[in-house]
Amino acid sequence: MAARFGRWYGWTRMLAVAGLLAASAPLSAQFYYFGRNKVQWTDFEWHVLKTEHFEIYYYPEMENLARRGAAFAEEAYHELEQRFNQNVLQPIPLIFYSSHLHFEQTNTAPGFIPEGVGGFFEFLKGRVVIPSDGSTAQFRRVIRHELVHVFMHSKIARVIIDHRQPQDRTPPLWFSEGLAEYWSSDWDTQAEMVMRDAVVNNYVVPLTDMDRIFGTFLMYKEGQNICQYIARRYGDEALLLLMDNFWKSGSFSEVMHQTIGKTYEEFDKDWLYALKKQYYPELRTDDLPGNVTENVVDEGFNAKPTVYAHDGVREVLFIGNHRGYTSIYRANPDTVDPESQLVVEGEQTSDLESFHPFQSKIAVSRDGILAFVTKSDETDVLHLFDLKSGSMRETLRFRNLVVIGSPSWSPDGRRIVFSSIDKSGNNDLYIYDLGDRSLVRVTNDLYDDRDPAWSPDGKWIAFSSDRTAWDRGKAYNLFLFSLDRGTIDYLTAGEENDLAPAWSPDGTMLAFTSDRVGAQNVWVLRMKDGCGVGPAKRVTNYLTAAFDPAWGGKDDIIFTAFERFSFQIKRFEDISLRYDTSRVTMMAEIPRDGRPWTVTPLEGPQIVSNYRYAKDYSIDIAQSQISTDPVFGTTGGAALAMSDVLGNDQYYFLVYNTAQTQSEILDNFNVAITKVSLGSRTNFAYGIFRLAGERYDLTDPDLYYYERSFGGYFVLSYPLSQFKRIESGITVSNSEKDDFIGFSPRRAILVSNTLSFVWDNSLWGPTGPLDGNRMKMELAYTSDVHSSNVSYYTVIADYRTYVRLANRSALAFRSNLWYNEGKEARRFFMGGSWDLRGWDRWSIRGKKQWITSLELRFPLVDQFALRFPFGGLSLGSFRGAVYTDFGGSWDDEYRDTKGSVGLGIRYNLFGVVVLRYDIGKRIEDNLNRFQKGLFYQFFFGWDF
Amino acid sequence: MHIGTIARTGAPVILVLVAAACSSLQIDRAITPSPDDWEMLGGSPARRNETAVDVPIPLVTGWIYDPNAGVSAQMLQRDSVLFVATLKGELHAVSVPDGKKIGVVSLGAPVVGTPTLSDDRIVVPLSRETESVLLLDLRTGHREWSADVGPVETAPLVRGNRVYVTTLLGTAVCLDIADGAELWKFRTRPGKDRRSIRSSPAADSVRMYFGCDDGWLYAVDLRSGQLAWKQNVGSAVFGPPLLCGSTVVVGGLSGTVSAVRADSGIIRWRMDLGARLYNAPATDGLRIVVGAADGRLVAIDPARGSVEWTFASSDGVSCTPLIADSTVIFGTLDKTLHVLSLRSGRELWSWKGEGRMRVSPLAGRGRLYVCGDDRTVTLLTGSALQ
Repeated sequence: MAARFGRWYGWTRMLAVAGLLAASAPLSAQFYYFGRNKVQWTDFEWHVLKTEHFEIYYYPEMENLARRGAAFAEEAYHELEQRFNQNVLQPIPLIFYSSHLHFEQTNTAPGFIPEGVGGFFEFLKGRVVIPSDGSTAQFRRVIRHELVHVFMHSKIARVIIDHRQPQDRTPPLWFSEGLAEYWSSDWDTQAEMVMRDAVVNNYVVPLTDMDRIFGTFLMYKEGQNICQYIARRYGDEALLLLMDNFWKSGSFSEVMHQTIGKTYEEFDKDWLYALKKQYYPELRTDDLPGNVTENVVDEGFNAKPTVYAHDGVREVLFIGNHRGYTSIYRANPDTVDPESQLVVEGEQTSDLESFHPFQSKIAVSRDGILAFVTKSDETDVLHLFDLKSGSMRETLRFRNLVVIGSPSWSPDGRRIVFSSIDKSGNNDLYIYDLGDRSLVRVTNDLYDDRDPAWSPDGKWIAFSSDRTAWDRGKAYNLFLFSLDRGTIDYLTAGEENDLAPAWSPDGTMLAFTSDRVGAQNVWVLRMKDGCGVGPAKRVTNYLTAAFDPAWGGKDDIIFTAFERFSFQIKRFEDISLRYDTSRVTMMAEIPRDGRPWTVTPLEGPQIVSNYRYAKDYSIDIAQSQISTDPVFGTTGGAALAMSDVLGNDQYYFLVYNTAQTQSEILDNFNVAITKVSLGSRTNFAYGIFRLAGERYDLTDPDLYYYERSFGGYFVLSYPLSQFKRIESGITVSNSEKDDFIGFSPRRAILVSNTLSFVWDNSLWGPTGPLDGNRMKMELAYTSDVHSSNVSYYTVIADYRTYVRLANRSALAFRSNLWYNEGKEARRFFMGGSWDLRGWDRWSIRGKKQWITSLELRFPLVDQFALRFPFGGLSLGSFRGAVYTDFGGSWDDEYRDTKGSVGLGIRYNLFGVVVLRYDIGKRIEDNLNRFQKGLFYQFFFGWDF
Repeated sequence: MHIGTIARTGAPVILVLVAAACSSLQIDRAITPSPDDWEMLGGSPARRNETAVDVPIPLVTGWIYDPNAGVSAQMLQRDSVLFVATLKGELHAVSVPDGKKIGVVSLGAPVVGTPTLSDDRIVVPLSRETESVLLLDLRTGHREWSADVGPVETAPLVRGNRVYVTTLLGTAVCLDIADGAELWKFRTRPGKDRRSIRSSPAADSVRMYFGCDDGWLYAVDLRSGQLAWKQNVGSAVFGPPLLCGSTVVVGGLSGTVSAVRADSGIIRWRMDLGARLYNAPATDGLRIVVGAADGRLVAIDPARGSVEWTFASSDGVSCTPLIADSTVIFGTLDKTLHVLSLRSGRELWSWKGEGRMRVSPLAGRGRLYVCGDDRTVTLLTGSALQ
């Protein structure tokens, strides 16, 4: 065997390669060092509904919803087929979830799914994954939106293939999403709100700069508006031609030029001008909320205010996010420049895992009990928080109720009404009695019932619902539920969205929001004995939007305003005067045939088959590679990954060869096969491997050898919550090291057991964590059961905490211990930009090591732009660091402590990698002196 | 390479095409032109997409040819040679008896519109800014000339010694077939407001007719290039109009079929089919047959503008129908070829291909050639002819 450097691969690292294949696919945190956990709380019993064009995956509790979705999907398919002049030849997998909480558990996509994601189309297997949120119209719209992506993908692929061009090109995201929005729904109030705000506040991003808002909601709406503009100006067929002409250039700007005769720059000029002409005149009659209201809160984002008056003082409580964690805050609206104070901090523990800031209101009873909803483990829970004592009184979880929304107290504080989505996907109203602990279902149908509000006299519950006969499920009107009679009657009626009813303290007025005449504003309806008196009248005229009015007292309202692309809490007064003088009115147009709409689910011959899901695998990645290097030689290999359609079971195959001569080929085959299972709460992986090749052992200097090993492993990860998990693993391998200079030949059967505990609730900034904590404790034992050549135990303790000093600044601390003790105990290594800065990378080795670091992290330069005659270059934000590191490393006898102090600059490159540059001084000689001069280190990697 | 003599009256012609680039083809056989040949889009300047050839169903698969790229141009046939122009910018010559490649010419840009055979030459439109119309001499194999008229994605029209093309720049251009010199240019609109023309021109002896993305149907004098008339048809027009007697019939993208008088542009009748029309209609003179994106094939009485029959197919109609004697043949997006009775609309036969049929099938001498978007050209033949 020629003595030469080979790549460094311990046998455990080889497993990491195989594991890396697993890790590169949807594993989120399960097999990473830290990270949160995507927990499979629910055991879904998947079934498949096969229709003419779809394979629909659902679970039995939501079968009716699935059949309705199937009907929507087939309807959308026929329409889109004609729009695109294209069909999709293979059955389209549609995976439905009956709520967003269930959807967040999906393994079809890696990582966590934020609340704002309403569904997605995944390219690898062509899957469409969609949750329901209780609204039929929204469900239909999202299905249609995602199918636009499916058709676009098929169309573009066909165009590219026909022209024999490389298939790795896709249209820009603003066009994909913009077209999906435009062809799936009408231009609605929400879209209008965003564009009005953007135009009037001068932050519309032109096409030439669209990368700046890549993936944001603003990009979606601008994209939709652009597609609408193109269709109106150049014909709807222009949108189709943009796809048909996709082959004409690698630049979509050029494709646009060849299709409609305008490049991005030329188009921007026309489009932006048209927007100004459209929206600027509206300022003649409508106002921006910030100019005509009083501020209650103006930092971060804030929503869902409610008012608690006690002891002559008023407090506004609301959901806000000021520092990265969504929480509940309070502010006094009657002070000048009110300051927010934290009441309940969320998103760091499993009981307050996440709020639903745009879905669920909060409510305070007369005796100061705050009712609010968070996700906690598998479902939402309803918390009752005593504002006087500042402690949580009770947390309520209801069997079979998955999502909970908008609690409202009865006047006597003994009952709470709220909306809830059960496993069927229907959003209905429920009343919980705190006295006898009974739960009564008020509505039970497919209509989306939201925002319940209990009247001050206790007799009525006003709520918003799409059960109106107007507009087939797209409109929301207000209804009144009589607790005496058990009946539901129209309160408002018309082709609009009437939402968030709120009773005045004396019950004589009902405030709500409506988009009846354009932008969503606050309206008031006078009430008497459960009936509206006279017309409802608009009492605000904001250009953008108002949400969730809450009565501050008799004559003022606290609400959420949308402006400058943020949500803030505002206040306005003189309700009675506004009502009396308003000329914008609305009478309820109760239809003669007041029967609400229904949806016919797909039935009978439209269903091709319906069966229980059996694992359906397909290939995700198949890749081969050959590389050659004058030092490390030549390697060739292939990797294959496959998974089932739900992403729950994954297989990875890795094979490569490092032979340098023909005679070595058989001996140098490396194979690893891994199965990863994510379908239940306990995630596990197991596999077998056979590895052989030259190894350079980084844990010892100048040691290289040839090793042959084969064996198997099993690892599991059990999440205790989103933040904590237990991991365990066992590896058995037969290892033979060949005779090399400096190394005795060794054969061993190694058994390695590990057990670890991981906790991570950190909040990340652009280059690393800024808040929260991370911790890992690991115990391991490795032994040679054949010849007793190896026997050592391992202890790893890693603790990191981040103390937020300001919004973007933090003090970060870590303390790590790595401890190996025993026969052939391996060495750890450190040094370099990732740990002991200033010292050569991986130059410090020992069987025991410790490190402690303290680092101040702060923003440095927010935008850096260079301008040249031929163009320019803009770089995003640079962050700074001031730090000190201390550490030591030894085998049997402690040697010395090393340290460093320094300054650093960090830059996040496209969200993929962080570039790091450090300068400073080493502290040498057992911390007795600073080095002469400075060290300079450039590397990559996230902050610890 | 064999170089033969030109025969204009039915004597054998030996065709040679030499590539402008590295590829070449050599046709080493006698070619006898016949009335059954299909030499241009729609079979004639009137773009009727009609042939007297009888297609004897049921058909069986003969050979399959791979043109190595997608095809959007209609195939052409002269005697035993089939010409296929691809989106990769190649012109293939295929031997009809055995489906073997005779040769291929690389043209340098995608061929979206259908070329036109004219005597011993072929006029090829290319989708690029410069050299967008080529004339290749079939005798010598040389490129005789090229013209810079802007991107052309429609079929050229050859009348006498003139070539007429419509362009994506919104112009119609007349070229001298001898040297490609521009004889006149018609602009649909002045300045930057011009919209592209994706509708191939049809012509009678006096005027050429074409639709435009701006929703108008234009009639332009063949000699002078002056506008004769224009008529608003309501939406962009992607397919060529056809001439049915003295009536011009065109389908607009929004689903409206318009029939106008060829001499004046006055509307005779209009019919809204309620579904998008991406392809052209066909006619045998007695009825207009139109395929819609919702899968309906509709036969319309050209005189009264009334529906004679409707056939609801399994999926969207994906190509211009071909009228072959007493049948009408068309493809749908679900890769099915349908053969209907032209008189009654009753389905007589169907065939499932491997790819969607975006190009109108071609019938010749009892054979049917079908182009699929899975990059195949399939010969279907009556079992008796096999």
